Amino acid sequence: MLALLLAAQAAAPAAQAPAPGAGGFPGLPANHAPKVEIAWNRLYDTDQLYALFDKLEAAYPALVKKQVIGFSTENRELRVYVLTNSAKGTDAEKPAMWIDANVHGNEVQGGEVVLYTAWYLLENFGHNPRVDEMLNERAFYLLPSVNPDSRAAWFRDAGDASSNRTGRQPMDDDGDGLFDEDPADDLDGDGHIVQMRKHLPGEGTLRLDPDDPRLMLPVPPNDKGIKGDWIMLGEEGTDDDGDGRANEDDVGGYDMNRSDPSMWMPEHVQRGAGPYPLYWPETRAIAEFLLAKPNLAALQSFHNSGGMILRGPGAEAFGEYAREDLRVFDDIGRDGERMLPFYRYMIIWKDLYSVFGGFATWGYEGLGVISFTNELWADAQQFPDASKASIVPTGRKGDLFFDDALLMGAGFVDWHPYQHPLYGAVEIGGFKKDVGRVPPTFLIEEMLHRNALFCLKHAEAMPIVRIAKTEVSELGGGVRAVDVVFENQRQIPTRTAHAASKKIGTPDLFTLEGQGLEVLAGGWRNDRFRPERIELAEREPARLPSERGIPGRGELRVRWFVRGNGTARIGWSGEKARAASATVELR
Amino acid sequence: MAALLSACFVVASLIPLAAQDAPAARAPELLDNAALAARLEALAKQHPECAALLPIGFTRQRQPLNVLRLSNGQPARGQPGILLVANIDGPQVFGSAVALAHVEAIAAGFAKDERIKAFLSNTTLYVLARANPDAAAARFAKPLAEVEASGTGVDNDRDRRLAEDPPADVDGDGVIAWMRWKDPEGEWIADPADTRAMSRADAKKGQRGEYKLAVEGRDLDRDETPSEDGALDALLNQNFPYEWQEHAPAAGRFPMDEPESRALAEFLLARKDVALVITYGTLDTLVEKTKSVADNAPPQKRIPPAGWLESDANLLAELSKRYGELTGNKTKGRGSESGSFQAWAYQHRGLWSLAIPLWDMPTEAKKKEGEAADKDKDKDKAEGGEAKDAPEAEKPADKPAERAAGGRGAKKDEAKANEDLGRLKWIDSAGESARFLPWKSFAHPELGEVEIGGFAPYARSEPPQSEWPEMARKELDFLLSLGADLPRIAISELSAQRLASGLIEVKAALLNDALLPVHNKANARADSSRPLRAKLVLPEGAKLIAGSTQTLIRDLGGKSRRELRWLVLCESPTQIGLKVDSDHAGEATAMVEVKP
Repeated sequence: MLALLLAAQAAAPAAQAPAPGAGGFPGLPANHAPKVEIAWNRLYDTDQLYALFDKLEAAYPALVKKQVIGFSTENRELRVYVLTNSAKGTDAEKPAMWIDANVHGNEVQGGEVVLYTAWYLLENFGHNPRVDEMLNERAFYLLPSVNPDSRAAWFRDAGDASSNRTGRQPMDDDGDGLFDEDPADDLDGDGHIVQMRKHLPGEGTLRLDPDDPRLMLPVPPNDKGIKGDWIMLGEEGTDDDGDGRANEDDVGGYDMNRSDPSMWMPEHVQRGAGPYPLYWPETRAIAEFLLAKPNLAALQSFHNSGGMILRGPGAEAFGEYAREDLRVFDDIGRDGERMLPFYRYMIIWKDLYSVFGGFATWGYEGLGVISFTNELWADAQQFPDASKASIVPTGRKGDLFFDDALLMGAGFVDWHPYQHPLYGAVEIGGFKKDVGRVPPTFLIEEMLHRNALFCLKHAEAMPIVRIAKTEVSELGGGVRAVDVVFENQRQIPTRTAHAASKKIGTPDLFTLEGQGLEVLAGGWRNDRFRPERIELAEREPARLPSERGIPGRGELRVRWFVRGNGTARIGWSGEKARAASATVELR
Repeated sequence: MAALLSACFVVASLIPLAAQDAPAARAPELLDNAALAARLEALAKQHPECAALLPIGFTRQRQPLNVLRLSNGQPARGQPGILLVANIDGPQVFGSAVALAHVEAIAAGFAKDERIKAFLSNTTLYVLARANPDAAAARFAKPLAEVEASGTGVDNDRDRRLAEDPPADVDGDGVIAWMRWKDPEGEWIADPADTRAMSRADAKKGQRGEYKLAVEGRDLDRDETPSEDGALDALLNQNFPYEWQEHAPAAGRFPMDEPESRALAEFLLARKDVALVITYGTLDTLVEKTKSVADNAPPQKRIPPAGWLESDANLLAELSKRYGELTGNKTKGRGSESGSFQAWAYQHRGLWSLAIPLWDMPTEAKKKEGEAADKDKDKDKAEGGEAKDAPEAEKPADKPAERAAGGRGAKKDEAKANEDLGRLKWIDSAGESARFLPWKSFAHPELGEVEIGGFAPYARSEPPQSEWPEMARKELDFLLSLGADLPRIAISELSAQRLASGLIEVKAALLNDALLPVHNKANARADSSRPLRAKLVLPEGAKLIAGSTQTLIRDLGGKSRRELRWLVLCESPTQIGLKVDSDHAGEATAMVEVKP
């Protein structure tokens, strides 16, 4: 036990053994009390979420800094929390991972994932060498809510699970010249917007399920002679604008995850896309922030629901992603499947549906960075034990059993009568907004931890460049060959194949210089055994740009031909890893 | 040389506005940004009855962008509008001169000219005379250079240095021209038919490349390529979302990133009264037949095929015919519509987008008066009527030399080189020698012996000055003719008849008598204008028992009529009203008495 504690406390002097009850590793239950206690069995509205981040910032001022990158439609702050150990360099000097959530206002639990990721890193810093590396050598840009307006509305207002997906800029959805004039309505004032049904004996399309009157079944085709007694009337509400349709012009009516420049398409191709890319202040602020961060090397976005680890392309028309990059995607994606039960690694356009202008697809297609979107929470998580399949109810019946047995029926509003101004006597009932897309409270923390650690697995894969070997050989006539092996120790290349092919960002730079030294020629070695097989640079051999960079878990070998005596300074610089350098004496 | 140049390309200084009786048709003038702004301001001040200056934003270099609005006082709500955009392409400064001439002629003629009065009585004209002041400034700068780029610059040659090798006036003659120099890797030859022209060596003809070609400039980074990395790269007119070319330096960081593009887009989004846009640029939708696809052509992998929707294209063809008759303009369009304002305006916003290339240098010798005029007519008949192919995808040139900031006009491939021979013939026959700078030897500090010369800046974008007044007059003629074509709704019938003691049948007919529909197919597809809204106004106590109080109409075509019907329950004598309103087809109201 003591040995374990000492290993975890590698950074701390051996004399300071931690007192029991404090300073252990949060993933292991013994001897740990976090500095900042946060309840993980619940969700937080916008103000509460921001307040918790502020608490973390106050507790760890050297490790986390808030940056306001813009303002939402309703003038809430768009906050990016920059996590890195400033004592070991600024975020700009290190490869960085961007993590965001909640672009759709109702997809709330990603906000907690981002919070948990921050908390986990901060609480573990100084107790775990891999976490130490994460904050010393890397940086994180954490945006807990892209859509703080609608997050607030999801918590505050009556709604259902799909309410508040949009932003809150008014839109004329039905073309009648009025804006947001016909939203869904909480007719019975119970704080929920559910469904309406009407009893029409012998004239309906549905009949009650004999096993559970809360459920309805379709009526078989007419020739069987069975009549239905019920019709569904749709979402709770009235025809507020008297145009013959109910609830057709709710707040907003657009999709901020169809706003990004890669493969952007207008409304008639991609619903919700808005008038032009990055039209809304939220999406534009994020794009401007990321375009100014050449050190961005990994990107993750959180949505709900379905249990998915998604990668692009979002549109079939884009074509295939580059083979070398797909190897990285597949590696991380498959590990994700192992870490996240019930989550499937999927291609957006192929396995889900077409998405034009998605944010994470822009992360790769536009910025050249490996990017994923996770859809949190899969229905199957309600009954995770596959061996019980034969006795577990499925579909709606399963949902109701889960709610009845494990939530004391709290998730379902039972059908109750209401006098509707147009339809007369109806019944109102259905599942509440926090059923179906967000986990029940007792399953939140596991979701948070597994997804946070998926992010960290991706972050660990960001490049680390080292000069692995230098070798000098005399060629005669005062000329020496300096052979250098530049190594990338991690899986993500210093430049993705896509970035290299589209000339995104700036190329890597390989340099050799020193006083009294003249670099006569230089280039890339193609063969470790045949030194003459070199791609010589046409000019400026002391300064070699490389569009393709150093492959993931790979190397580039350079040979320079140098004349003179002195100290040669060899360097690598690039966007996505800390600069590397070495010196070698040439005498 | 300099004297010849200045004779042809007059840089107009600040000319104080003449007294109130300015001539109705004023000759176009090339004005720099400050002078142009001052003229527009003065116009708005002098003619408050019909002119107003609307600030719409600022350029990257903080130049103001102003739209001049011409209307009969405050425009009536929903009255259709036309937007004229000129000089969105940097070198097309001439377009701004024509646009200015239009607004001055209209303002001056508003009081007396019947045609102008009639036009402004029910149409609003918005004019953005210079959409690209930053790039246009080069027209009035020294050394003289043609500049296309006004936006975000990139490291064109990927050497991790930015803007280290811009175009420059190496020989100090006051012009940034072209350089040719002998190089074994060169792909160009001096064309045997006319050694002034540069053509790509054609191995099939036994030609071997001799020259390299680039915009005049130094090779300061010693990479054997001069002038390949200027400070700016993005073009406003490649920064719009339709077919935006991601990762092309000329297209910018993302669509609508360039402040001028965004300002123009925001103006259009806010001005829902604009139904038709005219753009003076290099693209064409009016001179030659525009590529079209069936209205319901299926998308390919979800993406709609390129081209105008057929129903719209057929109406465009009507306008095209009239344009040809009124102006005789046969200038061919050039360049790609990818990322262009012209294409975005139609494809994404459903506006009638009339792209007009005002002038390009002819590619054949100038005909003497009367000579071979008939021969030309026959030639046109034989070649005419062919649908133009989709505008050739002139991709942003990959070669750094051609893409250098200020990259000038045409990609020089084989077909175009032949056209240069024709252009030179025209220059010689028209006595426009200033448009071609003879190749002159020069000792280039990095490249050694080079020759500097080639087509002069703006040679292809400004017609001979003698032609300017007539061109402007004809374009104005066409512009004014469009007023009558814009959709305008009228209530042609409103009747109310008692069918029984309390029961009234109300009938109405809405009419759009204009050539153009209220919503064209692209507009309907984009849902970018709201439908016509017809509201029945009932008195107290009346009850609607059949029909809707509010009817939304999305498909009232050109020269079309729509009938509406209601049944109302009302005992007493009364009045029933109908109000129809729209974004850009005007409004109408009517009232009908219902007898007891």
